[in-house]
Amino acid sequence: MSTAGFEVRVTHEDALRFADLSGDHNPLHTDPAYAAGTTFGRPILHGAFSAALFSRLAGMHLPGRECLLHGMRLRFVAPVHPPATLRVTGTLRNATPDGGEVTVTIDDAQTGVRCVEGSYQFGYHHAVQVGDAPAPETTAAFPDTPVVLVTGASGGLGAALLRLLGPSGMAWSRDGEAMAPLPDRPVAGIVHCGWPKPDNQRLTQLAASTREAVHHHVAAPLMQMILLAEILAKHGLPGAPLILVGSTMADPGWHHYRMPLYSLAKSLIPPPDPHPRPGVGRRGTQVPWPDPRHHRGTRHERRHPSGHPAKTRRPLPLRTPDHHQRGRRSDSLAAGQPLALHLRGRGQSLRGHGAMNFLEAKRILATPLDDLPARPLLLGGSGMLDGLVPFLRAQAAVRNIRLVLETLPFGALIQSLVTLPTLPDRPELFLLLPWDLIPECDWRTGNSALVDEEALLAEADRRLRLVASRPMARIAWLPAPMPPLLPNHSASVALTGELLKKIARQGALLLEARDFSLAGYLASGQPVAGSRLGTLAGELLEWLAAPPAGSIKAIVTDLDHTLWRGVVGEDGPAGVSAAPEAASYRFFLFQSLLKRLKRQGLLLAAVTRNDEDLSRAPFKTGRMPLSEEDFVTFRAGYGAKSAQIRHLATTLNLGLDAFLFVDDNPVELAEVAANLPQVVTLQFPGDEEVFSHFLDRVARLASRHALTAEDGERTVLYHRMLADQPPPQAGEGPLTAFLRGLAMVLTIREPQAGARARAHQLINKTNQFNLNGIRLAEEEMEAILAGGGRLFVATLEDRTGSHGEILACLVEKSGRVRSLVISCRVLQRRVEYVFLACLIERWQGAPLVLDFLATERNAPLRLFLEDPAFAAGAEGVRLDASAFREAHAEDVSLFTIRDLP
Amino acid sequence: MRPDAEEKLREIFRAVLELRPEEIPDGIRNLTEPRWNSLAHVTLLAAIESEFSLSLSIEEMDRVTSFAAARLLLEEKGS
Repeated sequence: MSTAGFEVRVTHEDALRFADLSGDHNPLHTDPAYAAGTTFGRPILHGAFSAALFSRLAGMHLPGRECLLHGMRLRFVAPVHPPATLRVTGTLRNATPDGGEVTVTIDDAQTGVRCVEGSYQFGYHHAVQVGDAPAPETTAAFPDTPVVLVTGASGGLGAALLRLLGPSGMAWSRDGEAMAPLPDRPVAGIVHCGWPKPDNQRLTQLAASTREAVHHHVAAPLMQMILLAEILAKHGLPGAPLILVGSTMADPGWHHYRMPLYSLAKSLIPPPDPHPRPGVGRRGTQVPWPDPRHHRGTRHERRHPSGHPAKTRRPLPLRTPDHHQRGRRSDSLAAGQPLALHLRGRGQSLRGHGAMNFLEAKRILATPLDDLPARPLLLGGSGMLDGLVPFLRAQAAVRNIRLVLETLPFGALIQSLVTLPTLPDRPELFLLLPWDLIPECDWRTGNSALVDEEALLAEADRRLRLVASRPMARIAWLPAPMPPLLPNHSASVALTGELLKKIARQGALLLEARDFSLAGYLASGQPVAGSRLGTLAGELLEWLAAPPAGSIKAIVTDLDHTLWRGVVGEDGPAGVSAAPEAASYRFFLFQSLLKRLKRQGLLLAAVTRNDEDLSRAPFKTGRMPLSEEDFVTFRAGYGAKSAQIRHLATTLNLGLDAFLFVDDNPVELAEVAANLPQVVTLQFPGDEEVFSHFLDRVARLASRHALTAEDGERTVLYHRMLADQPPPQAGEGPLTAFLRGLAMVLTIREPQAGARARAHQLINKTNQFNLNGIRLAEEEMEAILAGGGRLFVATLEDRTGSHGEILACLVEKSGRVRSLVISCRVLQRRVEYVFLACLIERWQGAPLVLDFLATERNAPLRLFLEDPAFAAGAEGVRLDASAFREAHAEDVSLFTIRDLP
Repeated sequence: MRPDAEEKLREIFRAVLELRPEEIPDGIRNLTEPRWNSLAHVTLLAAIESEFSLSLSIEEMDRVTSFAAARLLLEEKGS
């Protein structure tokens, strides 16, 4: 909770000025003689004056600059008699990402008497993204100071110059066809950063359009300079100079690198001001970055409404060499790990928002993004990375983030590393190329000198240290090919590997060689291949949001289709496989990795919807890389997996952020992510394409620097610890809200003859949610239907897609339910309750009796029958229809039910 | 050139050069279009590579001097 306030002296003169301003000249406020004849005895302050103090509190303190006042409520408890000193105090309540409410009191500072009580509601306004236009108040604040006009101030040199000039500088540019209005201030000089460089060779080649070319390259620029000279003649101080600086405007494709003076000037550009005045030479606006520790797990938080910059700018400890070893993620966050880019769907798919082309990115950016939480990011690299910017912003928008990017000027990487301040709330992403470490291998310079390998590598180390010493920096490595530099060709090739080794040890993200384009780099300094921009932007953001290496201590894994191929409840312990062959290979490899991770001290736990004995059975066959003893626990149950993990975290005494949850089912992953956002979730891939990425991610999260003897014994220690614990109680967890969000549609129909094959197959194939395990011949089923029975089937669709036909139920005319089977893949969605409630409604005949038989595998069905509406009798399980429907009305409300003939 | 590809190219020109809605990209040439500056040129090339999933050589990049030239180039490259 934030509190802010101020004291203010209010005099009789203030009251008179307020009366003038508002037009409220009521003598009770302004005329002492009149007031003396009233019950107050003395003039009292306008009530609206107090309202103005509320406004001051809102606009200047709580929440401060970005405030948008929505409304206020005041109660005047006691009169204020000027002169008086008032103490205005506000306390922030109910802060949300979109605003908040502040309760306010105004007291007499001397007597302590409470004069006003009230509150106001606020939201936020947003500063408009600004390129080159100076803030009007900047000019207004210094009416007589001479000003330096800078043209071409939208980027590069012009923008840097403006930053240096501060209030003495003013951007001046063509605004469409018209020129921007001149300031009411004397002009001390003009710096023209649009100095053209005519390309005479091209000019003479363009026979047909010579006139246009001359206009574009020669006449128009000269006219501009004549105009500038006229401005100087008219507004300039005596001796005010016109300075021409190099240009990027000269000719498309001919960039800075042929203009050594221009490049030199660029490299001298000072770093951007971390506390900029709005509107001057900045790309984008600075938004306070919330303390990441307060914000893990919620999607829509925006900022601290307290608005105390000192609070967010406290110095942070530098990253220590052993940061990989730190256990708790919260610790590493405190040390400035730039994880606060909290992206939707983190970890749920390996390439969730993969390819994105240019027009798609533009379309996304054309939609209003103001309601998304803003996150700053510094993007650094020596190449020209402007092309990546819209893709990064669009990929962030897809993940519900409004990315506010700052980019380093072209070619200014190394000096920026030295001079640029680190901001605790601004992550830094450095996209490095080999020549950022070894300048001699830059394709754009060429190198004819003999170089010394030792010296090259020493320089590479020095430069890499510059990056790695920045606590907020993350490195992505673009493995561009290097030109052959050394006399010994093999040594040249090996140099590439040496660099890779250095960079990998910094925990960098290694991109792919095809992400680099030599043509783009040579032609315009843009190193990222155009066709890869969208994909690359997505990968960079995913990686920025990923938890740090080594943050995981325990892996909770699903079993069916994750640890082994198949469903043990359906296929039996002998029918599932994790063997090194064909389609089972992925499971074999995952188990092998888990086995190794267990040896390096990771804890393994299994959660499953099977019963425990059945879950353990495949490990007893001796055909699995893992054995039962490798797990600290098996958690079997019917409830939400998040509840299982929460319980596990408590019993193991580990933070939730030390858990990784792996499942193949996106619904389970989403459920855990929604209810336990601290837990990292990863989907077990359904094919080989992204499998290596998956294994790599798991290994990275479980990374350890060094192993101790204790690491190998840890599972045994926890076994002992758990032996003393009471049995787990798997609660339901807040699953309902999640299920509602799934927007499930259950379609029930009664299939006609000839369309019953799938239903028949379900009845005879399903083991777990099976009423009695009795197989039915097709003729038998048809006979029941011919005798007045009914066959129901249902399909399920939800946000994750269609699950197909998942249910079959065969009811005799007598009301006896002969078969009821539901595919085990959809059980956690409460389909079984909803279907039965629907069946009761649709069944108009004799009371329903369930033909139940316990089998070895139908534990889920037995759990279902524990519902109090069921009563076992000699002739079957009877059902209290009205009690059942009443008890599951909420479940039914989670679904849209459709009937099809 | 396929009509949808041509329309994509128009959209790219509109977006990169920030054309007004009534402006038609077809006649645009870098020599006469002040908004086609160096940064726009780089963006344009990256946008074409991204949208049509292709890599241009420097020679091809140099050929992109007008909408018509870009259209011709894409046609040659099979779009």
